[in-house]
Amino acid sequence: MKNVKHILLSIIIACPVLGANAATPDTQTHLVPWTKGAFQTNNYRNLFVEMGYSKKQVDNKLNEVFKEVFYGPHKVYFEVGDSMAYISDIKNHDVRTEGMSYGMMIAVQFDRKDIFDKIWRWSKKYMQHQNGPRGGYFGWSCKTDGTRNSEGSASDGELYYITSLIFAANRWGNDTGINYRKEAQKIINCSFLKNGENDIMPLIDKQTNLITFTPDKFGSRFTDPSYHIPAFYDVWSRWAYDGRTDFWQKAAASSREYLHKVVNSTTALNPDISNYDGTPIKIRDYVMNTFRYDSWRVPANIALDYQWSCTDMKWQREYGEKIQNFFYSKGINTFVDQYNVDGTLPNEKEILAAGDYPKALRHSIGLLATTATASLMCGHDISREFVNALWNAKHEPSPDGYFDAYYDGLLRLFAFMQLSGNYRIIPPLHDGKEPQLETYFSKCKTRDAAPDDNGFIRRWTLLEPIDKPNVSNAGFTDSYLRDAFYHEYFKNQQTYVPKDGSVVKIGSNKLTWHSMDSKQYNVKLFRLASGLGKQTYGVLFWAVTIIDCKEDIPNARLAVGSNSASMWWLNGNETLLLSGDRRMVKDDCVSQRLTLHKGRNILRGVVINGPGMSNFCARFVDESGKPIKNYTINNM
Amino acid sequence: MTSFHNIFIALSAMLTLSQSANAQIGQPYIHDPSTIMECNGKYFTFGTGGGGLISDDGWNWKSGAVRPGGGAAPDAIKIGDRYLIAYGNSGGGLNGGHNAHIFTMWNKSLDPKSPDFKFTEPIEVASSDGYEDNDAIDPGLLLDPTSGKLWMSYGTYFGNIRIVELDPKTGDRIPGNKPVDIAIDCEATDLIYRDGWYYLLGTHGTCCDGVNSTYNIVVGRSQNILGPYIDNVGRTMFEGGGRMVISANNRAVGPGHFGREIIDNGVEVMSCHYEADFNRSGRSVLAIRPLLWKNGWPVAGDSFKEGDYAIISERRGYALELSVDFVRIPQKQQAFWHINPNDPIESLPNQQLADVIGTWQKGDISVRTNDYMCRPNQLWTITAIPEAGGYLGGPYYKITIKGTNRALTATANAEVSTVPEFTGKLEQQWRIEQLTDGTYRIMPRVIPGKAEPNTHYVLYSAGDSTPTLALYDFNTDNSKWNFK
Repeated sequence: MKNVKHILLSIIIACPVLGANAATPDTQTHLVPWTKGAFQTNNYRNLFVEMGYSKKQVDNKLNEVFKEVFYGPHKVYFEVGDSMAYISDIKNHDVRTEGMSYGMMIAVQFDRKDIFDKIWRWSKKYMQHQNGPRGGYFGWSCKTDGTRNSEGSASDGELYYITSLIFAANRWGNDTGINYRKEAQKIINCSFLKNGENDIMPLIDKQTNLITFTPDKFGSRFTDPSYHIPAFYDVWSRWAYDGRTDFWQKAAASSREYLHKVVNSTTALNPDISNYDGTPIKIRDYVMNTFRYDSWRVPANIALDYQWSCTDMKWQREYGEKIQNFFYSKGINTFVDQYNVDGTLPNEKEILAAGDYPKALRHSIGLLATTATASLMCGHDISREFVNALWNAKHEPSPDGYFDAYYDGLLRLFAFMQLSGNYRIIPPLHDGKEPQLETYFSKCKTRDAAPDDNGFIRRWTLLEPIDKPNVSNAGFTDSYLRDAFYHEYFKNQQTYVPKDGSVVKIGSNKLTWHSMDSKQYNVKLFRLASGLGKQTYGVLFWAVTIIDCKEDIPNARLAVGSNSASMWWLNGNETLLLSGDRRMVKDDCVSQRLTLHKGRNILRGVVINGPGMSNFCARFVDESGKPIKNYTINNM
Repeated sequence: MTSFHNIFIALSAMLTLSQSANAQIGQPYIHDPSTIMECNGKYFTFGTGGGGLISDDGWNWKSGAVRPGGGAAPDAIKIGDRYLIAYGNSGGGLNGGHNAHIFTMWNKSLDPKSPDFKFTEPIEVASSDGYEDNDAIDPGLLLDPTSGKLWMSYGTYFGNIRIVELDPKTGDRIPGNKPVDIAIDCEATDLIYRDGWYYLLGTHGTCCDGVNSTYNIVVGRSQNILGPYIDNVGRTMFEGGGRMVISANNRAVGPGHFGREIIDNGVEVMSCHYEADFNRSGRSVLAIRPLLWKNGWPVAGDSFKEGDYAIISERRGYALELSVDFVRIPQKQQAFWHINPNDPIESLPNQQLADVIGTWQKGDISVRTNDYMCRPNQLWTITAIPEAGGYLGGPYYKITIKGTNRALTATANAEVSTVPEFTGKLEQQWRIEQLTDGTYRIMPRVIPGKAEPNTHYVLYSAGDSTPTLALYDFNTDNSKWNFK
């Protein structure tokens, strides 16, 4: 499956891009932000499709943008030998943890394990400190040959490394050569052990639960608004498996609270860095209060939090509309890429240059991408214009020759992923494997079976589960059960003697009977269902077995334990009812004295369960409670 | 069958309620309490959802214990001078699930006010992959006194209960140690050891359904830590076996999550939660009950109930009484060979307090033990003193002669006497604890002039007829009393 997907993906990437430009989408549909997050719904909007672009157009466009970043003439992804690769910030001639971890996030979202593993190996080999006071952290910038430009870390790199490693663990498991989860845990656990020794600090400030600008004595005194992606901590809380669920929940809440404070209430702009309380950083008389490159990411991050978690719905919707209103007021095709937080233009000193290019204010596609992403949380009409503007914008050099394949390219790709519903929470898919049916059952090999040493009947003909929805077992009263057990699910259910492979029709479903020998004294119906790929909860199981006696066995008692409730008939006579929310206990309920007749006896049972591991054990015992074993079981 | 473990229990803003016979006082709201730990003279228990309860005296509980990590159903154990906490986190895919992990962390103190209070970073010690027959939450810890080894049982109804070995120095899993399956269909297990036997306690029934929860605690035992754990009818816990330890009380239902606390030799209590206390809006509350041992099986005793009692020595079966004149009850005596069986039967009245009180001295009256004759000087009213607080599992009581305020008191020379009026002095306050054999020890809160609080001197039979205060010794009946 995965291989096929890989091949398909590479074909798409290798093919010339199909015409997917400048369509005129429907302009009537009103975009309505969702009110529940993907953690809850496991669903994602495709805003392009909502706006009238075809699914195929959108897929093609997304793959085109992906291809530009990884394989195009202006690609930023470079493979080194067979097993490694890096992502380069071309304009700065280096490799950054930011881009590397972005690359891994993109790779895991696109199910590109090859790309992911290559970038990770390069990261681990050249960037990550394997020991020493910085152990676990990454030098934030390297030359493309792997030489470190800096030993120190920028916390957003670690943030993205951890999240993408957790997603990789969830998507691909941990036994394909890289233990992704262990690698994520290593970064987290190392961070928690930093205590200021050698000036190295935790990634997350312990007083405020907010991410540091850099995890050292200097950069841990403040934070960067664009490092705040609260939903990432929701991911860690669920799947880092690091024993700190509550801490990450707190970190997510603190991060959301911080964003409220740091964002300007009129423009929705924020400074590139701030104090933990959201106030701007002052150095002597100079107040650092400018929205520049780092800050571009804030609208996209908040949109991601909205899309995934939606716990801060009201504020985030206001924020989204406010920031789009601001940029719209500056002209959707002309707004520049740096502003003071109050909306004024920065002066010469405040404008940041990028790479070797001269200082200038430009209309950048990276910022257009992130502001367009904010449309996920906007209900106003102009949000469509941002999405269309992004769709139609070409990633090409500015009039002054400026071109940023890296930052603009990656932010644009993320925006297309996010707006098309392809930047997703990846829940665990491959941490474990459903045990095989054969672990619990074997096919009947001999004609006759005997009860086991303790008299338990292990050979049964079992019907695949009948759908019987019950969200809890609280309602298993005697009356409920009589109704449920005497209801006719299939014809002649009280007399039918099924064979292996027999089929009965229940509603429109055909269910098959399976003659099985249980490998344990108890019959694990849950594992029968899971082993056959059938539903396991909210179910009802029928079981039949044939008991052949050479002579009458009087004064026998049927002894049953079941999870959950069950009813049993011997030769058509109701013999036992086990009611209530019950656990499987050997000899839990025992029938009155009965006679197993010479010849054939039919033992029939039905077990019901809402949530729980359905199973039962049944045997016949004598007057003194000792097992009866002088009969054979023949279901062949 | 349910295993809703990630229930968040609100612990704040609770009503003030009058004392409940079943539960601790204060705001003892908790689910899945860990074994109670004593630290800096205070008591601590941690619950599901983080945090936990704290008590200065073991009787009055409020929220305030601090445990990081979140997750569910922690357990705690003291090893050397440190506390080890184990707790489980269910990963929970988008569809919930049983991908779960157990972590341990140390702390030198459990008291958030202590300068030593600092948890170490969590270490994963066990996990389940979400599919296998196990759900790695609900840890229970045992430091094996015979071997010094540290064991942990864990699991829920999803599959099997397992046991693993941890390193008591690091709290980490012993390298290479493989889990062993020891039970099915249990939750919230705990391991304890006594007299050559290992006991596996598990919770059966339905949790988290308020006043309809059927949770109950059962036990099996083994002479091998790895089982098989066998119940009283020879069934293994792998077959669903288990002997009842505690089920519903008349006003509280759904006991779960056993913990054992040894207070003294022969003085044990068990902690658990009740899923619902009918006297407290059906909330889940902490419960502490005496733990008795009957024929080698642990069973919950009843919390002591206020009332009128004769206090009978285990030594001789004599009753504790005021040393006052024996006042004869007048009766027309007939020689038994003269009784006409056809004469009407007459019911004779008991001797009344009013009949005798005039003959009693006015000041302090000493006490002795004597033949029990149902006389007013032998009948005591035992009442909790709400404002006095308590100890692990119970409140302090006053013990007065029925119908009077004459109160039993400890004296400065470590003897026992009565004062004409109960004044609330600490030496008039008594701690009553049921012992593991079902008898009781009765202990004054303080002995004037001795170190406070008194935790060693109990009401004691110096002779058959002579009570005193002496060092508690479970191995002599002199320390033990019964109420009837």
